[in-house]
Amino acid sequence: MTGTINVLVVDDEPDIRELVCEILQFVGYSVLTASNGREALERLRGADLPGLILLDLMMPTMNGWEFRAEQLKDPRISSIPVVVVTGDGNASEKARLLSATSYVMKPFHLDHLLAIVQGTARGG
Amino acid sequence: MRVDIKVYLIGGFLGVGKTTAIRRLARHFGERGERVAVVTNDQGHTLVDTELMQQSTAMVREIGGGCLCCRYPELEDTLAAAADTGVSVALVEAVGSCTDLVATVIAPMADRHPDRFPMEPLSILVDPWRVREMSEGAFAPDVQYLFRKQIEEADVIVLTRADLAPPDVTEVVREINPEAAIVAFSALTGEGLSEWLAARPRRPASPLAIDYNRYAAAEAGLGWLNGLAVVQSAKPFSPASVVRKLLGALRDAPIAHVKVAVLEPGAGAAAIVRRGGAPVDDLDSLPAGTQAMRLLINGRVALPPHQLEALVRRALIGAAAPADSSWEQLACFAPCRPTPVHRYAYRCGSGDEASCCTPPAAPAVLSTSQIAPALVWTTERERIESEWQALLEREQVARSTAEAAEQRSTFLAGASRALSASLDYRSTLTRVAELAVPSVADFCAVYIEEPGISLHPVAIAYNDPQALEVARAFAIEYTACVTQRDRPGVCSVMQTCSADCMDSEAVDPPDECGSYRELARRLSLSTSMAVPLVARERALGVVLFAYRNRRKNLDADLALGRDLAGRAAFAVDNARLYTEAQQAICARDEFLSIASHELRTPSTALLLGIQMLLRLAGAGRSVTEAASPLVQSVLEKLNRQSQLLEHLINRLLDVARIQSGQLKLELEPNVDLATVTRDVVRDLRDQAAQRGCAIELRTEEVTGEFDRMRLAQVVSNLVSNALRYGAGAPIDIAVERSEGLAGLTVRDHGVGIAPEWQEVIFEPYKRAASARHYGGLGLGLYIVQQIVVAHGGTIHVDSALGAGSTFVAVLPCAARSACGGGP
Repeated sequence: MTGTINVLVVDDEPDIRELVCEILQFVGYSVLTASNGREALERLRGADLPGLILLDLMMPTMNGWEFRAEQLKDPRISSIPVVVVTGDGNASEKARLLSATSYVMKPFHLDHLLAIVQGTARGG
Repeated sequence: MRVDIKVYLIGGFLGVGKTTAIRRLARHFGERGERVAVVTNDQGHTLVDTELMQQSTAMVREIGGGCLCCRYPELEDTLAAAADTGVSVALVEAVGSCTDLVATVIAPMADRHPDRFPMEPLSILVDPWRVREMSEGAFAPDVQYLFRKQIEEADVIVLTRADLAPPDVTEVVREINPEAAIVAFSALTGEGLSEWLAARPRRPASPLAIDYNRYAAAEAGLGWLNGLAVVQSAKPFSPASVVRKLLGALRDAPIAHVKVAVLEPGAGAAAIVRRGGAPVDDLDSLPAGTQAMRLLINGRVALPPHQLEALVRRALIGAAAPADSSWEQLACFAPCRPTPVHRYAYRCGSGDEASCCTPPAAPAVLSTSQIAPALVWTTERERIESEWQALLEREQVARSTAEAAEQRSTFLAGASRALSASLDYRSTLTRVAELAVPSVADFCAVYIEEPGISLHPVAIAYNDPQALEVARAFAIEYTACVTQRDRPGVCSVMQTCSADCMDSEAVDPPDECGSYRELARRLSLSTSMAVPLVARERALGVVLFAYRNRRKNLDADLALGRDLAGRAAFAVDNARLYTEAQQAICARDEFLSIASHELRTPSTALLLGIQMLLRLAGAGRSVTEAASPLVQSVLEKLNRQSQLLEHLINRLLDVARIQSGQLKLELEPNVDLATVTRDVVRDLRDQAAQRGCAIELRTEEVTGEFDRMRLAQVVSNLVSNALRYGAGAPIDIAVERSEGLAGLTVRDHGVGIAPEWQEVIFEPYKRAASARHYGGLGLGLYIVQQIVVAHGGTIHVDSALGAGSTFVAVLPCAARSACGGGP
């Protein structure tokens, strides 16, 4: 049912990135990963666009804000929903400022993550 | 009975023509072979009347600086001196705004010298036109009151300009004083003179019932003007024209009268203008042209002194132009409250001897319930008066001391309020300097010591804002020059925490301080006083006060300076503590934000991983077996993240230990720094490979007495930092020994550290790099430095932005034993 949906996981912490990836794959999503904003933009060059981006904010090279600015400039990818994943205490405000669809605050529960992903991801 | 001098006391309101009348009287007595003295009186000095009299009379004495009642002893002395030179008639002119003469002059004189200086009846000259003006309310009520009191106490009322008098004036005057004789007199023709001298009242006037508050108010309302002016020009000018223009310019002011006497050229020319009248003068005797003139001017004008002075200065410039004018003397003032030396309740020795020393019918000022012999009464009265005088003096001293103390505490309270208004200590110091000038000193500079900057001026104030730049230069030179010399300057005041005063000689510096001397001269500063700013027994800086004049009471200045400096130091200390506290709070908040972020990563991983495993476990054996590689992967991550969590917690614990002084080293002998370093690098190899950094390791065996675990922590931190900030470029690590020291060098070729950050990075919670990009608690280098220092070593960094960083730690191999090198 969800097999056709791509999720792009952007996080600089390898363990978090890989755990989220493994979990989403386990429940049936197909997953792309990137360790910063720059890599994420590269992943989005291909024809097969994800239905959802899980975006960490604090990352080296290109952070979440910078990535989001680039994404919104490009009409090809600007409408892909973004869920902000952050340890920041003021996550909802950050998500609002970034015009993100939703947010997940670290540390988060597995069920919560899955519910958010399921509720937000567009079929691809 | 020896009669020395007959005394005629003549009063009358301002501008009534007393001077002219007295000149006429003097001539009259002179013609009859009497030797005449004229006593003029004024609250100022430099009197037109004296000048005019001197030109026409053999002997003129001036009693200045106060009216006759206040200068009574001088009147006695003057009369005695006149008697010694054979004077037989004294014509005494009272100030035109003076009254209560019976109680304060006539009665005391009759009491004290009834034989030597018998008093003729008190004559009060009255201008009939002024009577009408007064009844029409042209003057202030208090002035009208004074005018009426003058008439009330007269024995003889002399109506001047009687030929022109309005018809009903005599009735008005008689209504005020029914007992007085009333005569008409023309000073111009001398008509009525003999009637005046023969006139006797129906009854001698009694001392007045008078309200001194109203009397004083009337006096004070009429400002005095006394001046001596010079007009000069290369081109001849008309002296008469200057005087007429001058009076013309003043006649529209609220004057009672203004008199001018020309001293040079010629003599005796005078002019007067009265309220509402045209100027009257006898200036025709003056030469038509002159190149220089001196003139005296007296006046009573209902203006505050400063306005009066401005008015008369303007008037002279206008009158003299195009000639130059200047003032040799100019005094404008409001008269003080009259304080008579004597004030008798009743009158002795005038006419009816039987009435002498009768108890007063009018309200008594100093009354006795019994009739006492005159002598006893006088002695008792003098004793009371002298006690009263002594009390008054003591009260005045006490009051002025109390006023000074009150002013001082008001100033200091204001200073405290102003100083507590800001927590920015630079603006606080500016307030200190502003408060000090001009209340405490003519110049004030505040010097302060700040981290990395020696004592320097941060706030300067000077009496003349135009010369502020000169004052600033002086403040800088003061530190430079005075400190060089072998005497206490601001630096020494700072070091010793004790104040330093310099009188004018000491402030005058030796020749090598030429610019300083020149600046002090330009600012006219002669005396200085340097006071330390001390708070919590720590000197923060110095306040320098300087004065233009030699100080009368430097101790009092010093006490005030110290009090101000004490309050300023307190305010500066508060402001600094506040700034430090704010910075500490910012650092703490930032640290908490970073620490929570750092802790969130492992806790997120642990939570996700464990929930994942639980889900797998709940899915049944077949799924678990199928997912075995996944379980393996999750467990590896959990293991790693648990260790990361442990590492973060250990760092926080380390900081807590260090800050409570509980960092204990477990020293072992023969620990080899090279071995420790190699082990750490081996553990970090994976991380280095991930970051693409090649590690170049060069080691010499260097053993010493070290805490092996802590040393590993130092190496690990430095190398991890190099990997994190090394931008993927190769990293060089070297372990060397030299002369009992073990050296560890870690060099990266990454982003580098800006100079201003190179000290700060060793402080807790401080980080040069953005937390957003690099993460980390900002505690690593602090802990590293504390470990190195605990070993007795040092650590420093060489770096430049974009050029990489080199950290060098040097440790003594042991405090007591030599470094072991090789087997």
